[in-house]
Amino acid sequence: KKQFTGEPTLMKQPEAVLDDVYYRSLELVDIFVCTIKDKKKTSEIVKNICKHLPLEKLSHLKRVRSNTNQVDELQIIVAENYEEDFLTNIWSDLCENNAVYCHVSKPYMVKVPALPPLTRQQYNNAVQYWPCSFHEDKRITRLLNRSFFNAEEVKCIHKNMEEAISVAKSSVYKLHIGAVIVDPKSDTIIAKSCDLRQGKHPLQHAVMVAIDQVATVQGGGMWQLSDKCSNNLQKETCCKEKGDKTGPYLCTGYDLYVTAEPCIMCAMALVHSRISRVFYGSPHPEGALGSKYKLHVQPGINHHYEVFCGVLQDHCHKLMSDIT
Amino acid sequence: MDNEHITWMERTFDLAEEALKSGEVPAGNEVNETKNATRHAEIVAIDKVLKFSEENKLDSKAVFRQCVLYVTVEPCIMCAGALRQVEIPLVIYGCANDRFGGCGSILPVHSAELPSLGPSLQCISNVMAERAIQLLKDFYKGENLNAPENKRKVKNT
Ligand SMILES: [Zn+2]
Ligand SMILES: [Zn+2]
Repeated sequence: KKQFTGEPTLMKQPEAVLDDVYYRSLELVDIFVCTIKDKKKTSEIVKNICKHLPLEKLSHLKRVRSNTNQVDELQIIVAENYEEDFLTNIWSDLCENNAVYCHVSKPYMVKVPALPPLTRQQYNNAVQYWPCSFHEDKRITRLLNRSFFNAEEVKCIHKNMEEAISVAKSSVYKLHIGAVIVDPKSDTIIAKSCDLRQGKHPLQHAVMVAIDQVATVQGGGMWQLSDKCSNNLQKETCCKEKGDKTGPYLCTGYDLYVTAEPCIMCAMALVHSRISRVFYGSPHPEGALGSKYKLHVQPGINHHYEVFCGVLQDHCHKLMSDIT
Repeated sequence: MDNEHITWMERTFDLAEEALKSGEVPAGNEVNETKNATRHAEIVAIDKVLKFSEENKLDSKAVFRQCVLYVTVEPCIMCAGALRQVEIPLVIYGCANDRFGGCGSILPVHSAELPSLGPSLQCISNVMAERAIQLLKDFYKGENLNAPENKRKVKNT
């Protein structure tokens, strides 16, 4: 559509930070296959081989494929490894006891995809080597394609990040990082803060302060802050919602916007706080949500949130340019 | 292991067990009252050291560098990051934290290459581990929903 061509960067979608498994490149493994010499015997051969030599690790592979070089031939997987003793032990026994094996060639090595494809791209690469089964996750596809949000949502995301940028700029300290916690259902800002770690308290990273501002709004809070760079704003909105005095449990249902990628402490604080989504601007080499770690997809952790990066990245990056 | 560490660890357990018996939340942990899930005992302890330093007109950075943290359970990933941020050099703990541990159980935040966070954190683990595990079991028998940061004690050496 034409109306967006004038401002392509403005409407750029945030980039999802997904588990590494969605970005991994093709890994191949050597296995044994046979050529079926008499195609009329195919179903008998397949039945017999599937019974005696089931696939475990490589169950994502189709058992049989048409030989790419000789179109009238079929290849069948007989072992999901490539070890000499397969031929001397298992295979020779099978051939002795089943006449049907005279219709297949001696097993030989081919390279096949070692892991099931999770994305369309991984699938396209994998099937160059061997046909695979693939169940496309449409949500992952949209996240990878950057077609996850509609134009209205992108506008809203940018608006919230602009709020984080402006609170970052208001800091009296050299380190310019801003954080805003939003309730996306009502599109209201619950808390916002700049980074105070260079003041009196080294743990007062922008994210830690914003989390505590939410607690303050809910009638708790651990830090009494007089700093003008931190504000809990929506006490009424937050607490009157659903008619109870406490508001939601911690940050459940809330989104965080932060100009720089959170550190490991802040990223884990967000796990403890049950945040729903995190949007950040510029990456940090030691960051815990895509750069050094991907804590939000770390196995063994009891709460997972979604992470998007690159929101107004150039603006956010500029905030950091005066620090080293 | 240093006898002094053992003595402090025993005191840490005594306090934790007392708190548990009297039905209190794990000593030091203030998650419920603050409605802030980051209010683990380690964070509370750090706040207290900051306050202590301010009241006694001491440089908090220098105070932290002379501290040892005694804790019954391995600090979580967040707290391990916080301890590095304030530059506490040493933590001594009883048993591993299999759910959130930041000193190797889930992630080795204590020793990871994170220069902008702070210097690495030395850990001595498995100190009176059986007592720590028993304490955790007793804790989970109760109905407190908080994270297992049972007890902390900061000693100024
Ligand atoms: Zn942080
Ligand atoms: Zn903790």
